Amino acid sequence: MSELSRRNFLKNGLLAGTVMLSPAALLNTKLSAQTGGKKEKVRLAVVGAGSRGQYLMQCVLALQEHENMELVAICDVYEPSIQSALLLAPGVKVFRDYRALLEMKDLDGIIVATPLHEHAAPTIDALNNGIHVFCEKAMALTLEDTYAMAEAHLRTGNVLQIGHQRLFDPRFLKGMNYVHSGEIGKVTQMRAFWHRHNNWRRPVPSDQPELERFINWRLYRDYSLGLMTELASHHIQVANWVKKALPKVVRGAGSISYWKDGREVEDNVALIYSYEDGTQFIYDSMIQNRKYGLEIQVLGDKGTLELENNRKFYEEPPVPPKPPGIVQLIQDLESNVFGKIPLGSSSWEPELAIQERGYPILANNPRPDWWPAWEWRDGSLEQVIGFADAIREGKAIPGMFEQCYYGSIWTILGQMAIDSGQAVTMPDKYLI
Amino acid sequence: MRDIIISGKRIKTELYFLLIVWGVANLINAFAIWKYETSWVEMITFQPLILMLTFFFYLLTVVIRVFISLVSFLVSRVKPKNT
Repeated sequence: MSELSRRNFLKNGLLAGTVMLSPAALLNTKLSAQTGGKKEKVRLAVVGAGSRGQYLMQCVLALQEHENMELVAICDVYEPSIQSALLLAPGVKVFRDYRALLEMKDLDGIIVATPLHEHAAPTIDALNNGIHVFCEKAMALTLEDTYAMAEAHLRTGNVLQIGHQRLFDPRFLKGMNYVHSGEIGKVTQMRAFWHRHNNWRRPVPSDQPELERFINWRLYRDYSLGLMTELASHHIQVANWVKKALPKVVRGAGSISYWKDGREVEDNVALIYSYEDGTQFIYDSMIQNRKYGLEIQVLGDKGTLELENNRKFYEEPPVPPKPPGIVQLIQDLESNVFGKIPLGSSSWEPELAIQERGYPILANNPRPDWWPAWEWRDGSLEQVIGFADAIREGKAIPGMFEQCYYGSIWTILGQMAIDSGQAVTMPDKYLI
Repeated sequence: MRDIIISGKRIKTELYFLLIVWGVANLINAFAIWKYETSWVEMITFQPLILMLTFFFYLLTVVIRVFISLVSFLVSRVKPKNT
């Protein structure tokens, strides 16, 4: 990427987006969530009613009354998914071809939660038909498809929102305020990981083994990039958000080191994204040990954020106010009388992690009474509210799409770095 | 039941003791403020603690005086009379 285009991107894309995202998106979604009863109804359909699709259906159904939206249809080709989706929303129209769904009258938007390789077609067709789209992350399996989706969005002006729910998570929004206000100082390193302990498989009916690739699409390269597109894309987006910049280059390695069961995607990846200013974003993911779970750590010279864990730490913790003189005198006398006498101390100590509990990034996060208890409180509901608001306004939150687009692009570039064993940069043709 | 009579002189003496230990407690507070470089407002705001210290010191003087009286009494009992 040329220096000029990078600067333009910073100026017009991420920077503007972040400024808008931090206060406005949070405020708008929270306000609308709390006040309820507003505006015209938004009619939505879900394309891909599998597990994620059903979770998003639940979000829409939970918001129907308070946010004036309606789930009008679902579309899927797998009968068991359709049947379990109908248990959640009996009476909605069922389609087996998304093109027929797009012909529906009064359809405002679709939620695309299909397997990754099928994101692009319904998204582009919907945008061309004047229908707004919420598409799950990552955007697409290939750079070309990702770019084509972006081109359709920019050409038509219809909303294309990507399911990076951390953009709506109040903890992350508050954390970004800390980062961008300089409270944790100069950020020169970010570390993120996503560890699980399972084989990532879904059960395949024993009498239909031919459905293996169809059901376990996340394990095969024709449909998914595995850990990169399904998990890493979230944290890559956040890292770019922290830096308000794009990486300059990515290097990576990966392997199928544990689940050697015929899968084609890695079960163990490690990457380094390097930014122009020298910042390194170190990422790893595995599915054979879950001790450390998931986290993204933002390391500044004045402090550290653990965004997933909602904690912030200071390099020099704030000094508590001095106790009154008389209290100090009594304490000193007490320790002189009862304190231990040191006999000696070590001349060298290992620099172990600072054992400090830190402070919450967001001390409390009140939700309206009607907010469903099952929600993970990770911004999932807020992003659906944000999508409905964007549909009503006819435009997305400025800068947000660019964040998501480049998150997806650098996710795929990360996989290319793993595949090639080479340092990979972004070709200029993928700039938007 | 026998009435205990506390003389005016005794009350005066005890009040003197109380005043002296209150002064000592304030001096200690002033010393602590000077030593630990805290605010001189603590001379006023920490009077409740100073009063507690005062009563502690006063009790200490009571114990010491009772001890001295006891020792004097015992000494006077065992001292042989001059013939």
